[in-house]
Amino acid sequence: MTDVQETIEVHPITFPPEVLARISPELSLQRHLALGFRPSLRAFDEFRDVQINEDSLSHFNGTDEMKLDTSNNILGSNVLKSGKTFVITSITGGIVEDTSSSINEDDIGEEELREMVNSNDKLSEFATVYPVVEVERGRAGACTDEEMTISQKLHDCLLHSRLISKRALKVKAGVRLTDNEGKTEILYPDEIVANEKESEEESAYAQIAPKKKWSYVLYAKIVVFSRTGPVFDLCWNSLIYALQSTRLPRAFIDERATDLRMTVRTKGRSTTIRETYDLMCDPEKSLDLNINKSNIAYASNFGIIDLDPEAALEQSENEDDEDEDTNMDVDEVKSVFLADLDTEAEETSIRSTISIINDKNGKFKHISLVGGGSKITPDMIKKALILSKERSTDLASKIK
Amino acid sequence: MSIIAQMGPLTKVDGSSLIESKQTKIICSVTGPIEPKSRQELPTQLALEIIIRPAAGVPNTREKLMEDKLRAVITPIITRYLYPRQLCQITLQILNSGESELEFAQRELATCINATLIALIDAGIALNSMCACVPIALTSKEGSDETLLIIDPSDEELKSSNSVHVLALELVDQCKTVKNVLLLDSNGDFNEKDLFNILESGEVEVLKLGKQIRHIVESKINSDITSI
Amino acid sequence: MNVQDRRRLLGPSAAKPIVFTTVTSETTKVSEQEQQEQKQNETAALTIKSGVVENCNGSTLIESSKFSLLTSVYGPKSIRGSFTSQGTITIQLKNGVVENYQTTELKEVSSWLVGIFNSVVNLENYPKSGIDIFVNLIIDKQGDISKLIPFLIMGICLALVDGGIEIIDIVTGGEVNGNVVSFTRNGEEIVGFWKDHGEFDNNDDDLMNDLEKCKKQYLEYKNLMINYLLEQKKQKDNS
Repeated sequence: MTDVQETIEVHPITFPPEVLARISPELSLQRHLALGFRPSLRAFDEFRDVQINEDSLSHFNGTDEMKLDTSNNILGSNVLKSGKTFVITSITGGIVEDTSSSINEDDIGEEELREMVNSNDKLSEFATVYPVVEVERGRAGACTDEEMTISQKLHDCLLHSRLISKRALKVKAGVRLTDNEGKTEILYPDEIVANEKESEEESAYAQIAPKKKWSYVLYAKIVVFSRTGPVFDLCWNSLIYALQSTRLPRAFIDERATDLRMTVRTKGRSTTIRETYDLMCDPEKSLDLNINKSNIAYASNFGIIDLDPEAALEQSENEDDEDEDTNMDVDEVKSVFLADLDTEAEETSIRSTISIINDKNGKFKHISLVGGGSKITPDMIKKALILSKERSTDLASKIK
Repeated sequence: MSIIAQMGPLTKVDGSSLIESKQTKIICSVTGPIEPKSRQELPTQLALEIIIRPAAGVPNTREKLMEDKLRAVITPIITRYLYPRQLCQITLQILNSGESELEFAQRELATCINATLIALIDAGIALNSMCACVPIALTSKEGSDETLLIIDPSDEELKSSNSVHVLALELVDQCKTVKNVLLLDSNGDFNEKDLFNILESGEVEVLKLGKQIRHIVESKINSDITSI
Repeated sequence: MNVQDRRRLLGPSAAKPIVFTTVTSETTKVSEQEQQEQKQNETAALTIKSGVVENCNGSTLIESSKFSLLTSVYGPKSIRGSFTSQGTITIQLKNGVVENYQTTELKEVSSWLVGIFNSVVNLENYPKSGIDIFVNLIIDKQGDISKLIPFLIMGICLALVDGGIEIIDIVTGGEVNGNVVSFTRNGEEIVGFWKDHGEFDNNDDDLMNDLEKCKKQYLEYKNLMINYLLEQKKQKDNS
């Protein structure tokens, strides 16, 4: 008989913490939590600090020199840094003709009628921005699902937050007059009203006032660098900061274009159409974007995960022996509550999350509970609400 | 909330459902478990491919976000470890949205969730638990500060509301007990009191709907057995 | 574009972008001496920071009062497809907050940059690997890509160092009148030559003249980079 009793030595494999975090994020997270802290070394209910830069990139908030740069079409901007991640938001604009109100714009009755029809549609009075989110992750090509869902979520949340009313985006178009000597002057309706003594000019404006109506459209480009975890909150907060710095350029139309009509005959029918004349924007004059300040709210997020007693490192031999009996009876799962999720481990392992957009008074704009993992209890929701209020207060204080 | 549901209207797929709730009408098909493409394959679990197609036009980011939310609800209720390296395709075609699509997606999302659940049962995919989902709207009463909670609001009710919500709960024990909140997605103006009101009143409605879904499944199975 | 992009929220299709009317202002001609002085001030005001991006292998942020460039290097990582005996470099330039440049223009610059780094990175050491470099022109107040090129090279070079990718020498370049010359080996070897709107009048003297100026800038920038790297190493050693 041959000796089959060869001894096989089993070496335990050990990994440095960074490697373990990549190959088994769940285990790495559990080990950290068992010791009472998180992979980011933050406490359970500790948020990352947020730093924001004052808007210095946009056309109207920058230096005087920048106003001369007509290629700079940024209307508002924000750079937000949170932990290792930073987000750059820039707001640009467009102008769209209001076709629904192009006829009889002076007829108040018409306006009233429209309002009556819409009175039941509360959301229709509000506008939103069109965000495009880009998360830099070292790859080219089509945008990822994450970028698409965050863009859509920002769009929806902003509309439902009732932050920007459509009224605030109406263009108060001016008219550019050229006198005999070729000198040009731009008249704006509201500026004339402010100087009431110049009633002559007012009537002059009334004569040449454009017959059409326009609205601004706002776009947001949000670029995320150095993504280390979920980024919706950072994008939302950066967008809200950027909107608070946004200024709309004054727009005007040339007097020759105010009432340009021409008759067109097509297939025997003749119709009068108005020449479409683009609005020009004044590079020097701007107005604040009038947002509903009471509806400004900031985002925060939380996660809940059950502790896995088996994943924890054994404390010491003696202790284990003592605990053996008591452990057997303890069937109750202990779960921990974490604020401001970050790191790959937390993102992939935590399936129960609470995401909140609210202001310091506890007025909610959005809440999303997802209970894919650990049970979300009313107590946890309450805790999240308290922390989110504090976070909102802190974030609101960062802007002057 | 009440729904009219048909289980298994499609014959060429593994499972299907057709649901009508007020103006909203959605058809759902489930194919699986099948062989996945290599990039979809998960070594230990069932991979899910979810596609939502809108009532009109082509799918865009709006449908992507709905797919994302649906996935968050469906993933935890499927016993995914039973089907490692396999794929389940879930396709939903919205036949009628029943709401203003530019502003809302609440009715569609809720109906999608219910339709998917019934189609999954029809396909015989193992589930950990049941779920049911209702859309909710909060409106302020004319001339007072009181808020009014509307379960399964119509398009008009959504429009005149202050806030809109979708509540999906995980149900166990023959749909008598709530195990967890799978999804609460809320938008608009509301406060803490409203939030807990939604969770409490919503729970009653979701349990009712869960029982209705059980009944629908039960009668379909009964009719299948008697027809043999 | 005919087909609407379904993956992005684009807003109403009838909307027209905001166009500012031009302000008539005198553009003052800057004398060459002033330009030179400006350049020196620029060098002084340059801030370099490495390791700013977490989810990549190496990164550098270079900032001055006029621009802010963020370079991130991903790799060496495995490439799909058949075996290659040496590494492949790709470079992608991206517009920042203000869309200053056309994509074709950026593509042209990036393929030119690839040429430089093909001769600077020790590619033999990275068989069947890809090194992907992304540069984001976050802020650019000049709107002249030639003026940025020396700093693009600088940023990529330092990001490669930060990512621990082997390079043969520190590389950067100098810019004079819209022409960029990129050097290695202490100015003995030219690895890239970019001619944009600059003029030479077919004159050898002009060419040599500008070349010398570029070389001077190259040496200056190179010193700056080496000082930065040494400083960084010192800090690392201390901690």
